[in-house]
Amino acid sequence: MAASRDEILGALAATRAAPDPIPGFAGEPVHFEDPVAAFREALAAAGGSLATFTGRADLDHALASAEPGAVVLAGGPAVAESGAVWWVPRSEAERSAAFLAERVILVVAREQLVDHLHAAYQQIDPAVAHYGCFMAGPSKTADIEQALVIGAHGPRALDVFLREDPK
Amino acid sequence: MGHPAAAARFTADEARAHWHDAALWFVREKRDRAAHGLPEWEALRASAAAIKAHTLDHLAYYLEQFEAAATARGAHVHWARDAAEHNRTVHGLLAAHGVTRLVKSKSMLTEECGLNAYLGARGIEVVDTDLGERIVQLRREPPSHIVFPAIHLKRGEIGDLFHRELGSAEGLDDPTALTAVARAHLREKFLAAQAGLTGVNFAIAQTGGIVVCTNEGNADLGTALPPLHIACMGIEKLIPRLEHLPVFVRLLARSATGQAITAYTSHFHGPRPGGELHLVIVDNGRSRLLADRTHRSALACIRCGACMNTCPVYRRSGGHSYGATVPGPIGSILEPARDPARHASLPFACSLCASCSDVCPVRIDLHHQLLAWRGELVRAGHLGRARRLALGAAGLVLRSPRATAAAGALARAAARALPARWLTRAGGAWTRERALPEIPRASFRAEWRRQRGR
Repeated sequence: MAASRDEILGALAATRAAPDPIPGFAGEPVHFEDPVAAFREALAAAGGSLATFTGRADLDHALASAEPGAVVLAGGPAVAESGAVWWVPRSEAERSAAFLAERVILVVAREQLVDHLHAAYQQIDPAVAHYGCFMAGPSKTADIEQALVIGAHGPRALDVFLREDPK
Repeated sequence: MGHPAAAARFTADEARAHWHDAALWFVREKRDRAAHGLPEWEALRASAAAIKAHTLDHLAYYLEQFEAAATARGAHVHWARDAAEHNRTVHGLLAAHGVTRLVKSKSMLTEECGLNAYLGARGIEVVDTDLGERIVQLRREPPSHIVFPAIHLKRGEIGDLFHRELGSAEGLDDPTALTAVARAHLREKFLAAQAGLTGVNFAIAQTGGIVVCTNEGNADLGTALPPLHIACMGIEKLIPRLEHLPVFVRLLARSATGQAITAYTSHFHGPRPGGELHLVIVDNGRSRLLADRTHRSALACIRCGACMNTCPVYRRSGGHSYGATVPGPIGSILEPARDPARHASLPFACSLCASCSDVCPVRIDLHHQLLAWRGELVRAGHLGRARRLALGAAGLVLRSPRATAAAGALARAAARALPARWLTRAGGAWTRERALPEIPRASFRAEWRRQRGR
């Protein structure tokens, strides 16, 4: 095993030098005048749906009346260009529940909505958790004749509850 | 069997060939809409190409950085020179943990290494959990596309397969109902699995983490339940830093399926509490390809499949006609590098239209490389005897103006004298399905002299 490591790295010896300047993204990422509308559209395209709430009371009421068996997760940042929401499970039980459940509700604060994925990665550090995931809509497949089917293995529905706090 | 013979079998069913062509063109159009929806698309492609070229130029440095960071987070890193060592390593890990039931999410690398057959022969049940992969696994055939493994199959065939293998109702052909059958079947497999194996879309040198993209959530379910996670990756999967990840994630799904992002983009850094994460880093010919200046950029490929969806040859001949793990334009570059004699026909399965290079998210110059391969394969003596003789004879004739004129006169006389049916047959694939043009009486040069002399 160690011999294989040395042999592979040996075959790549010409590429061992430390890099000096590292290229990055050289472009102007997309900007949305109305990121909530963009997020809503992208999430719908991904098979999910968006509900917005102002203040705690409405949100708590909606969560309390959610269907039994729905798993509620705290997520963020959310990404307007794709409908994706970053989520790190608080426990291993929550991690598996998020994929075994029929319905997932992701609760995100409005100020955590960003335009694009570059901005989202600037706000998170995936390396601090052994598992973290950008979720965009429910589980899906198009492996049978390109027909989109929601609920391949994981949740059949995904709702994002966007909470805006009153000023 | 070379590509032309295998493709002829596929196109013999004309209706299916047209249906296959349309199915892939549908995906190509979705990709176009997603790409055109982002003003910075070309900037993303340019950045991705630059980042990948940079990473390949410093690959040993980044591999060592990745190994150190992954180890620091508690992952175990293994190195495998070739497919055999990869399979031995994975089997060794499973045997040491007493695993007999493994769930696997999509990994083209394990297809390349023949892992399923290797583990199956050693008493380990391997279940591919991606729906398309599971369908082709139940049919005991390889995937025909790297993103849509079962795109060559119609719903009725999948219904028959599920009826036979999974006991579903006969005649079921609704995709939603069929997916529900697979979901119930695979849910049992997930719950019973003792280990989960995944591929790797991106490995981040800076953080020692890996990223896996799926739409089904099968990589997530397969690693959330059992305590042992094995991830297999080629050495070319690295990217330097976390900030580079969004460049590739934004390109991948848009290029592959026309989605802005896959349903799940999952990041793994070290093992779960009480569990183990093993990373198997595989060379299997990649370091040799890296040393090849002409073809090294093929290692930048992120396996989106866009070059297949747009390729007029792939669309009309089907993935299985390539007889390779990775079909289509990128496969026709990678596979001859692995085994030139076996895959010599692939770079010729191309009209050099360059559409693959136009859609490639990391801007690999695919059509230039396919052309370069043809020269290399001819020089290495891999061109078939008939083709070598025909091209040799053509070379002799075309080198001499007099011989060319004589051959032209002979051909014109023959074309007028002989039945058209004979001629179209003699022309092989060049004239099959085509009508002969009207044969002129004189050569172009004679006609030119006559008109100028007037």
